Amino acid sequence: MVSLVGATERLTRRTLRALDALMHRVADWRLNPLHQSGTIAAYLLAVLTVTGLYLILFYRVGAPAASVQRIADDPWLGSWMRSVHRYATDLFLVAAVIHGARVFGQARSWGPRARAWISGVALVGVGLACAWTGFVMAWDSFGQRVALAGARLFDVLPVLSEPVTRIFAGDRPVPSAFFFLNLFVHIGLPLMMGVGLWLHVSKVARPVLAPPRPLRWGMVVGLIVLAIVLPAPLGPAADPLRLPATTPFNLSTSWWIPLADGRSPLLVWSVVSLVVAVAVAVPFVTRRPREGSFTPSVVDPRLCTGCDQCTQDCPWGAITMVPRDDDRPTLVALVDPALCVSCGICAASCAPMGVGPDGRTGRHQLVHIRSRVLPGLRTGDAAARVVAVLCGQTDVALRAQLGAEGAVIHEVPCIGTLHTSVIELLLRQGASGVFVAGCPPRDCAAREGPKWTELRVYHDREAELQARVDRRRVLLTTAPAGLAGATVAEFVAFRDAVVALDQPTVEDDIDLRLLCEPLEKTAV
Amino acid sequence: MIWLRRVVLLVLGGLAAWGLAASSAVDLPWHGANAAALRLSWVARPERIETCRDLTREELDERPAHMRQARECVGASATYRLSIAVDGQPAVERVLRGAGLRNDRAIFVLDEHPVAPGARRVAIRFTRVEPFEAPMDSTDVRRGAVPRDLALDTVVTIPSTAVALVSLVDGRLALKLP
Repeated sequence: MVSLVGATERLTRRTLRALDALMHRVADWRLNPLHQSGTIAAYLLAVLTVTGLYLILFYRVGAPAASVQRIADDPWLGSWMRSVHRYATDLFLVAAVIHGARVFGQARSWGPRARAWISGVALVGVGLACAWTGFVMAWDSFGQRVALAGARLFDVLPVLSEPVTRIFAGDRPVPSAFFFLNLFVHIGLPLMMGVGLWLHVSKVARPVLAPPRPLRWGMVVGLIVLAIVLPAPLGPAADPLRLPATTPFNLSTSWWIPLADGRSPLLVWSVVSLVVAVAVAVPFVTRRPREGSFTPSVVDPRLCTGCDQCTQDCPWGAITMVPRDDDRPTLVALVDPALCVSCGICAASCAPMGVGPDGRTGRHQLVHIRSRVLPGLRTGDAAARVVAVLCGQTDVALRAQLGAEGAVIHEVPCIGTLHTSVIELLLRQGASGVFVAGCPPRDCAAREGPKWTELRVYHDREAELQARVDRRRVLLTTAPAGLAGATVAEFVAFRDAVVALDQPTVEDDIDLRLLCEPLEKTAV
Repeated sequence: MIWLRRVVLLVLGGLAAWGLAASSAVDLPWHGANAAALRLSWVARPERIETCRDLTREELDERPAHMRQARECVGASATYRLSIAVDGQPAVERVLRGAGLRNDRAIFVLDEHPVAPGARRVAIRFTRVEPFEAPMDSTDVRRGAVPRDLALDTVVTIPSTAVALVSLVDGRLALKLP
């Protein structure tokens, strides 16, 4: 079971990386919509709300088909508003599924993120149900088909004694009350989705709900142009006493209809239940043991100065400041293990290196560098002493290519976990340059790693890279999937630039405490 | 090369947009070009079949004052047999019971049978299964119970893509075409 889950995760990750690589060859990686799938889905909910509010002004429950036809016939606003509403629904579901796949592939669905995963699954389900009611509202031949398919499934449930399917039999007009109820549900479900979205991001610090401006406006303009050029089809008005040979079809929201056609409703419910059960079980089957690489962060209260930086940087809001139980006047950080996902971002936020998952705090990183990396920097010329710090999520091919260029590779789980003292130590003990390559900011498995690293290296955010460190010897860059060649070229240019500089004197005897000012004030 | 990337990006974006629109524009087969159907749809309130007996004086005395009813009835809803034949060939033969756990709700008849378009002889019967001798009880008449024997035997020309709908109108089976 575990190996099957792992294999599925790897397959998903590889597929998405291949798609990312393809995208990066034709577009700027900063605007890769696959990285922005979550924000695109959230933003499309806003587009759907705006267009939906307009459409509802002209919808009549007493004459659903005629009113929708009138909207579709209005060339100025109605036609494209309706089409944008429809296409945005399709795009929302596509974006939501990609977002789910990305989260699954990056193994970000377990532990405290289970709520986000399960609410995400519910949001997709509610989105599909909302699309169902939307198609019924139009009451064209496809709306009739969707209504019948849904009614057939509903009728096997022991809820109503009168089959809902009878409403569409044709012996009496479909009552307005039905369309009123349908409209009520179509408005109610998005309200539920609003609550669901709040739940979805409730355990995330600084949730991002909108894609970058160029992508945002590009998407809206693209949808409008598409709606004008290729308006969404509207079938003939529903007639219960007619058997249309074909109906218009919507793949992204109604793919289940051809699969359910002619099959027992109980079988369909069984398959739906199985799919839902598997989706909801994902956080439990992908759960990692809370040890080794996944051990929660801990705080060393002797080192904590109460500066509050780790609480600000934690992407999951897992750290709070609480009163100390000794006589020092400051607060002390406290990690809630139930909320900590062991991303390690806090390790790099702490100047005195007093917080982080066991084995990955700043102090552990320095020990690791001293024992594993520095011995390799004692010999060789300047070109052979450039260290490439790579995020573990970057391409394997990139590591091989950088290695072939003579880089000393140092892999970290995320560049956001890299304490700036590590960079300083490397430079003061033999490295001629430190090349740090991370994932694109919106593709970071730890959510905010590249953002915090940039601020720490270049903008004095705690724990900042000290002013005494020569910035010409440090390069922070992004290594997007599929662009290993560009990253290697960047490395080569950087290596050549640092080789041309005067080589620094190697400081053999550095006291760790000198790297970390607050430590001097703390009795260790 | 930037312009080339932009062109490729535009083409890919256009293709994605076209794909999005195309996924909404596919015609999905439903009934086929030469389909027709016979549909039955009505609601029938079943008769109540009761067995009644008069309670003895002793039995009445044993009961609390507010429960002393001289006549006690135990009953159930009648069941009905639906049979459909198209061109003399039996299509459906089944017994229908009232809805609900105790089968005391109305019978909801909803049946659809594909038939070939054209002139078809349709014979439908909906009869009470339990034998009956006495005329329908006045209470049942008041409650709007369905007649004990409904029948429709007719030749109907069903056009292609049309549904011939049989429903209950004023206590009789009636046929309707679009």
